[in-house]
Amino acid sequence: MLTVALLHEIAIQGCIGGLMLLAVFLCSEIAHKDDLTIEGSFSLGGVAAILACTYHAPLLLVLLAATSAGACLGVLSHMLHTHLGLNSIMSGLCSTASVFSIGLVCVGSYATVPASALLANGPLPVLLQLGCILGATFLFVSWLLSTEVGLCMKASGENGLMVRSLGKSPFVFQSITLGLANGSAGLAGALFVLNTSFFSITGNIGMLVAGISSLMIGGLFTRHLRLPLLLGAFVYQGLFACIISLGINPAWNNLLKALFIIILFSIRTHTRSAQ
Amino acid sequence: MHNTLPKKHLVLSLLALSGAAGLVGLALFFPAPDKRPAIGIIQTLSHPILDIAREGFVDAIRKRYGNTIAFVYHNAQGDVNQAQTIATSMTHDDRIALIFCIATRATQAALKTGTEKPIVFTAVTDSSILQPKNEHARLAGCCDMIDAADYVHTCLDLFPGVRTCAIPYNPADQGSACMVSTMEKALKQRGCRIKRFGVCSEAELPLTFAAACQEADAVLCPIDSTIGVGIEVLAQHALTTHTPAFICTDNLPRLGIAATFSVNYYDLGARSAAQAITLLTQPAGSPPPPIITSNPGILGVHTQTMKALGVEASC
Repeated sequence: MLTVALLHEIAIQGCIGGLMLLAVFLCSEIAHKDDLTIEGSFSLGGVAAILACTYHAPLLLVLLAATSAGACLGVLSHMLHTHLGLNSIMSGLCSTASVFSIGLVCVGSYATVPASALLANGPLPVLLQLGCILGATFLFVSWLLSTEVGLCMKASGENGLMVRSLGKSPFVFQSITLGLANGSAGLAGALFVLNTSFFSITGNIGMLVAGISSLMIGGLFTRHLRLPLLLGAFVYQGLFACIISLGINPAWNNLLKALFIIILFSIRTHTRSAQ
Repeated sequence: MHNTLPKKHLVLSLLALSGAAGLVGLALFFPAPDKRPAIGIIQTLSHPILDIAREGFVDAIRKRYGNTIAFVYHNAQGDVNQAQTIATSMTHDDRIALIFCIATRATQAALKTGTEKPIVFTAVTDSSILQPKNEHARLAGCCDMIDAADYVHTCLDLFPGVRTCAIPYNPADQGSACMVSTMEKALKQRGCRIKRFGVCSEAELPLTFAAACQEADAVLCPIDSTIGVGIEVLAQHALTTHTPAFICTDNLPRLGIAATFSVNYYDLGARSAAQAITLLTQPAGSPPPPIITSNPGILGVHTQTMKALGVEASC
């Protein structure tokens, strides 16, 4: 049964998932690239947050550090692809693997956030803080995509040659897109750490899948970057909460999750074909 | 011509100098090979309790042998293939007299090599899943399994009014699933309803703990590495919902967790070291010391949390 407290937790996790959804959207729909770096950026965001917290940095600086770390990783990974000729999946894997070691060296396998830095001890309720951050990120990305830079970002993903023929560098615009995507993932990682109060080196596992699934569910509502797209992240978390509340053998959880997504897609396909 | 020759000399001299500096650096970076006999340590992944168990083992061995024995330490970082490669390399390293494995996957990897070298493990929850390839494998070690029934009864004795118990665990963790089965039997004996909550990744922890605290009178966590990393999250939810929460992953009392019922991982490592010493000193052909499959749990309560839950406790 979905109680108010559980719905509150769904909303909190949905906000973090929303940032991952934005990251996946930018990579797959704008840059037209399968970027596995996102999972590493989520972890690196957590590492940056822990490090910033140890120096008693204010929240804004913590989030800025995490976003920048994620963005840098995204750009570096893209450079591995463009300048060293690594396959984009390989460059993502290499970056994520490197983050694992960086995380281990910088903060260890497990670290806790000082109580003073927790979102729960902030001036506003956690959900409001997360909602504002997600809203601000969403508005910024939407605005950027509507500018000339945004148009070039979209064009670079779809047809790099065309952008080059206009005298612009597709590499720069692809880097902006991937930097933005990974920055969003880094921000999600930091918020996850600041909300749950722990960082675990393996904590990023499954976050990319959650982001992709959320985007797929969001795609049922709209194909463009509009508010209903973000609903996907909340529906995904709600779906998971419903499954765990069913009380069936937990070994079936992931199969049920997959079945739910298949059903949703079948409904969409049938509705569209009927139209 | 006259102008280029000194430049060439300069370049060659610089190259020679940097080469020499590089060699010196390498010599400093890579110390001379250690000739001492060694114990190979394979750790499944980095985790605070596993690190503590390793410390306990190393300290006990150092206490007995001083610096006459070396340690070759490798961490598989959760990668099964990496654990297998490390185990195989240790099997073929003549310096290594004994392989010490921390947690299940490292032990399984060492056993898979079929080595004749003695293997000692620690922090394995269920030893029944360890299947040696070599029938004559000299295997000893200490499981971190606690008496699950005792754990359940102790928790329920503290809160006799509990009717529904939530058990969050990772269904993919064999040791954890085994412990959950034992816990369920004990809970049924006490007439409690059980709600299982599966967690496959750490990202799922917040929502699972929120649901568990909402839907049950108490939350009992088994020994589970996935659950272990999210104890702080459980503590937050338990505190908000006034739900008694119990853990047995570690024995660090914290606000929000009513009680811990755990083994001391440092001692566990030290006890494994005692078995390793026996294996190293006993004559060839002697049977290895028996595997310690279960330990009595040490109860620790958080007085402030218990008070908030309406129970007066002083231990």
